[in-house]
Amino acid sequence: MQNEKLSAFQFFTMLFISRTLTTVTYLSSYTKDIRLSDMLVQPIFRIIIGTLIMIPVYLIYKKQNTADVLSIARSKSKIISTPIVICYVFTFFYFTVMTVARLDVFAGTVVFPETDVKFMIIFAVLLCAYGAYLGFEALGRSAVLSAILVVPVLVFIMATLTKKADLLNLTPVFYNGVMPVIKTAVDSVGQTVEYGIIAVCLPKVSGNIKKGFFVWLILQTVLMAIMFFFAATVMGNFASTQLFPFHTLSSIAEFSIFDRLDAIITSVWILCAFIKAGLLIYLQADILHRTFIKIKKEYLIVGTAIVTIIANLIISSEFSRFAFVDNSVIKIILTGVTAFVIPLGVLIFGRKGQVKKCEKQQ
Amino acid sequence: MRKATVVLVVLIIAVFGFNEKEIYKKDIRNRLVIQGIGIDLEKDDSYTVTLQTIDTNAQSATSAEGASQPPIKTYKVSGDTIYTTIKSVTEIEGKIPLYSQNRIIILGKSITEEKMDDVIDFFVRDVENSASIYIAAAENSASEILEAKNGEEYVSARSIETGIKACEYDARIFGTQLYELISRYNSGSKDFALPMLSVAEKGGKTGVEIIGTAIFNNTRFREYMSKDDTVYLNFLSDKVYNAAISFIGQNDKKISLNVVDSKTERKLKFENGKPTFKINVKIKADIAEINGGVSQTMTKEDMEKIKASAEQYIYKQITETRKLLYEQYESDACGYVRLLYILKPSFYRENEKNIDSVMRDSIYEVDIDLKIRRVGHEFIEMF
Amino acid sequence: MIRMVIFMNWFNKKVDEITVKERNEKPEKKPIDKDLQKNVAYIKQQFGDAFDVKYRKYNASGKEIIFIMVDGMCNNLLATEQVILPIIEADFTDEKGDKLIHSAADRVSASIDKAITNDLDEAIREAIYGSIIMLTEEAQFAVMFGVQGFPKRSVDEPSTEMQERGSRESFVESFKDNVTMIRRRVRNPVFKTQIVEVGNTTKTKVCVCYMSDRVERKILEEVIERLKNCTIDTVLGGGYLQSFLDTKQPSLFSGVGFTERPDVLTAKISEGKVCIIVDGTPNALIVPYLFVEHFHSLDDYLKRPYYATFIRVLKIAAFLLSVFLPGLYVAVCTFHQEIIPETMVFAITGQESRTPLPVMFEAFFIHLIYEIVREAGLRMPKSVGHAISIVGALVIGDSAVTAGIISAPMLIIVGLTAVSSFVVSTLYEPVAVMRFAFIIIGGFSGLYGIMMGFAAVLVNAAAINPYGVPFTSPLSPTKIGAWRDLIVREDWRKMGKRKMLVQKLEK
Repeated sequence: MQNEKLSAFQFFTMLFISRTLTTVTYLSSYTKDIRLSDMLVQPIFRIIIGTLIMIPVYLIYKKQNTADVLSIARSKSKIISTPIVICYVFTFFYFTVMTVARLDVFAGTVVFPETDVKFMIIFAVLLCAYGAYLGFEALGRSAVLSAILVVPVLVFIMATLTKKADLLNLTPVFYNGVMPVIKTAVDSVGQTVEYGIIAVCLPKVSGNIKKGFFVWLILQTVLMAIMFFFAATVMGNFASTQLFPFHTLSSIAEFSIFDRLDAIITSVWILCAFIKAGLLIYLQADILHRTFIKIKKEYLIVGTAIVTIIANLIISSEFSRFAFVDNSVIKIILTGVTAFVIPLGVLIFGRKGQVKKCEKQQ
Repeated sequence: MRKATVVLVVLIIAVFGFNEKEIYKKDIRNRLVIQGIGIDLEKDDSYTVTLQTIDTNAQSATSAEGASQPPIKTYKVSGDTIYTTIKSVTEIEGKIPLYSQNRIIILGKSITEEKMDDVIDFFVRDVENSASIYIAAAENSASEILEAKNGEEYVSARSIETGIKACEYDARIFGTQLYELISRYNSGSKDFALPMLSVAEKGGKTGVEIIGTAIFNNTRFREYMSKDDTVYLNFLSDKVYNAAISFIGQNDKKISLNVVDSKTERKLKFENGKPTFKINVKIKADIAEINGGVSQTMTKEDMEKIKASAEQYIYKQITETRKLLYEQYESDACGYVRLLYILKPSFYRENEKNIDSVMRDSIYEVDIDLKIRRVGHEFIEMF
Repeated sequence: MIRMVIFMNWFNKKVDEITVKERNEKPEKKPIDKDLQKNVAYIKQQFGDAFDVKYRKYNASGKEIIFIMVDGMCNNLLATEQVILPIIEADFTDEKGDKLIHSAADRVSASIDKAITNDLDEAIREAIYGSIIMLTEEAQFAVMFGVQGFPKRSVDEPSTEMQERGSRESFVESFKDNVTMIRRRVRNPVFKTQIVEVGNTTKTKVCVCYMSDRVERKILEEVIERLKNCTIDTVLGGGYLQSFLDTKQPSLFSGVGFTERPDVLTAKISEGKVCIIVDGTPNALIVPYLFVEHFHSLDDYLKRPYYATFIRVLKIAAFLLSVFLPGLYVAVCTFHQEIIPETMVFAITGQESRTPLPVMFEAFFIHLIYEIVREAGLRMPKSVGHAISIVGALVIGDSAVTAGIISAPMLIIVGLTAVSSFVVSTLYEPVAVMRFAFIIIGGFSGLYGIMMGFAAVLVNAAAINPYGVPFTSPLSPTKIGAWRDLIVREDWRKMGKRKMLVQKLEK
């Protein structure tokens, strides 16, 4: 395992794959007070919020492109940096657990409804840990390879659904006002742990980061909008009865003699989950390794994997626990703190420190 | 190498420990492949479920067309819920039912008139059921449809589904799949339409016949429309890609049109506070047949006359169908309430409770634009 | 007892340390003594009673000369005509010792391949390799005349890398002949070779080939470094060196490629790669070797671009089929019956319900039997190879289905898989292993497990990066410029304009 660098293309492709998982595993419970058609408008708000919260991270990067939020915080004050590190590690841990938990809920309810899936959790987490062990570069490269498979598959599924789309299934936009739509956009941004990943990974990325970020933001938003368009126009209100609407959507898709294509979306799901969980486990181990624990990264990865397994075993035993933990408020707080609050703090205090330094020099 | 071995061992344990018992239980050999499900409600409030399954133990039979068709076996079981009733087949056959290959769900008259909500839930909840399965209503009981025999062989659910698809292609029935049905269920009006099946006896042989489209109002069966009338229901719903229309033209000649393309544009505007639906039906059609038309040269005038009488005929049929739907059956099977809901949500919200009367009193401006593409005759002088 | 164990452990450790130390130590030079008899005695001591080592003593102009050769390794006629005869007939009256040696090498002998050494061990090694060694009294040098004449196979048609339109030559066991075959194709001094000796016991000659104007120096230096540092006792083929040249990360795939075709090797070095020809084996190694190269063949470049593209797509499809088809079939029949098209479900259900084994075990055993038959066919003498095929076809094919032991759809799967796996023969090893792994995974955890396994294989392949050129390049890292020869092959008029170099594929 080395300290590796990825190109902006590879890095943002990895984030695209990671975010695609969140889109594909969209839970219909999130549409409690929002109509599916509103989800078509929501991306506009997403882009705006997503761009705004990344400003502090970008300014830090612009000022010092070899150091990330964590290393700058550490250079300023070791006391402050410790809670910051804990915050990032916890956020990544939480999202790893949620990624595996969703996969587990999906497997337990859709793929193998009558099976105890605890071994599946172990199997999945161990494989993701193996991906993390192989490193940032290997994950980045496999993300690009995955994207080569995932994107055409999604396009293909959507193409097969075009004939089934019925605009009469749409609902009026802003039927319940603008606020629920904005709230959903915030929810959606909150589910995007990738903003936090960007905050700690930018020094490991080479190339045009600004362009990469905007292409990533727009592409994942477009993908989301297209998927919601098809979910709304094909399934209409049926979508709200399904736990995983996009999985059901793919089961409605048909091509030639194949009456359902849900197996394909299952494959996409697992591939994306592997990349996302692998990346998050790697980041946890990497942050812990370079911040305070001088333990080999390999051991930290194993440790992280074991804790993830334990957490998932606890959550997966009851659906109510999953529903409790998979809370959008927690996600919004964690993403907001790691992507915006901490970088903003580091930016402000970093500058103050610089001013003091300049005064001393004078 | 040691690390790789450890990883391998852990993986093997994880994989093997996972669901060893499942292999035998869920293996394809242990599954009872269901082709069709029919549900009837008994007087004592219990359900009778008729299952049409593929008999894997029997040798494949050859159908009349010469194509190999799987042998069919039917089961008729009763119980309190659909789930437990179907499950009880396992006790008879020793195999676990496999719903994913099910082609059709047929609902008996007793169900469609009373308990639609109760029986549909199982099919939505169970993950193995396909969301795109066809739902049909039986004129009488569902079991008589699935147990109908054409000579020695059962009429297969697959052939019923094929028949429904063929009729749907010709716009002669209003095909509804499970996800569409549930979508309507969860919408405001809860009105929909299903293909209607009946057992017919012709020449001493029984068979399953698709007799038309069952119209539902607020999840209850109201009446059924004939296949010929359903064509115009489909015109209203913008669901016609192909259709056959016959009408009496000039000089009492019977004329048939083969519709090759159709697009219904539906617009909403308000006149004097009343919703006005502008329905513009654009049809492309070929002349398929004119009684006594052989060897007659067709002039441009003749064509115009045919076009005018066809447009008049289609207009009349569409208007009558619309009246039947909104005035007699009070059903929004063709989706105009939804159009109102999308385009004027505030109006819909205000009138949600008395939407049936609103739709009845609304203005419908129907405009037919027929283009005759081909005459299908070599004696032609008009161009 | 415990003490005994501790002592034994300590002793074994020490022995291992000494052995490793001995292996790692480079042999010291054995200088040639002025006393001829001492040198001869040393050589005799080294060879012992070897019957094939010949010592021929002559007198030239009153000076004692000894020729040492290994019978059978050198061409006797050549040795006599070009070396022995001219030397014993020459006039060395005014020369003796080292001067005589130099004079014999430079002035007298007609042999082209000759070298002078002061290391007796090197002289011995060369004698073993077919040189004739000349020693004389009072000389601290020896001449080695390369008059090799050992029996060797003539250049033949390739046996594993068949091409429709390519040359009919394949490498042979003699590395010199192999280098000649490349030299004939690259008539340019930029083609360079470097000899490295590997194998503590076998002292196998390894020839590193490259083109100096395009090779990546970093890669070349690392290859030579790795070859020099490899601690191995015997090298009997390229495979012995593969692991030293490959990535350290355990993987099913390898970043080192093989070829038995001189034209392929020429193409690879012209891309800036480094090739290694190992003496005694007709296979050369290529580093770095990319995943996509397994789907390329020389015929792709000799045929029309559209057809080459079509063939590449076929190869990729065949690769995917051979790895995943049995596993997917097992997964679908065990867990995901809903995927099976309705028209096929009856055929599969009907057939499978008549067989005794669950689908996973059925698939596992039938593939195992297939591999056994294949292995037997490979090792059997050609004359009985057909018998194996007949038995295999009858036993597996007809009888097993008729007896109801396996189902017909499964047999079709095996047939398809077997045929597909030979389309990309260079990947057969990982394909065979992965196929079994996916059968088991598919049987236990369905599509879920298969996709997880696939993801693990993907990241494993993506991690291979032995020389800074990732194994998955140019797909990832994406090098769009290289995509003109990835799946779609561009026309030579376009492709010929720009060099396709390995440097462009680095991360």
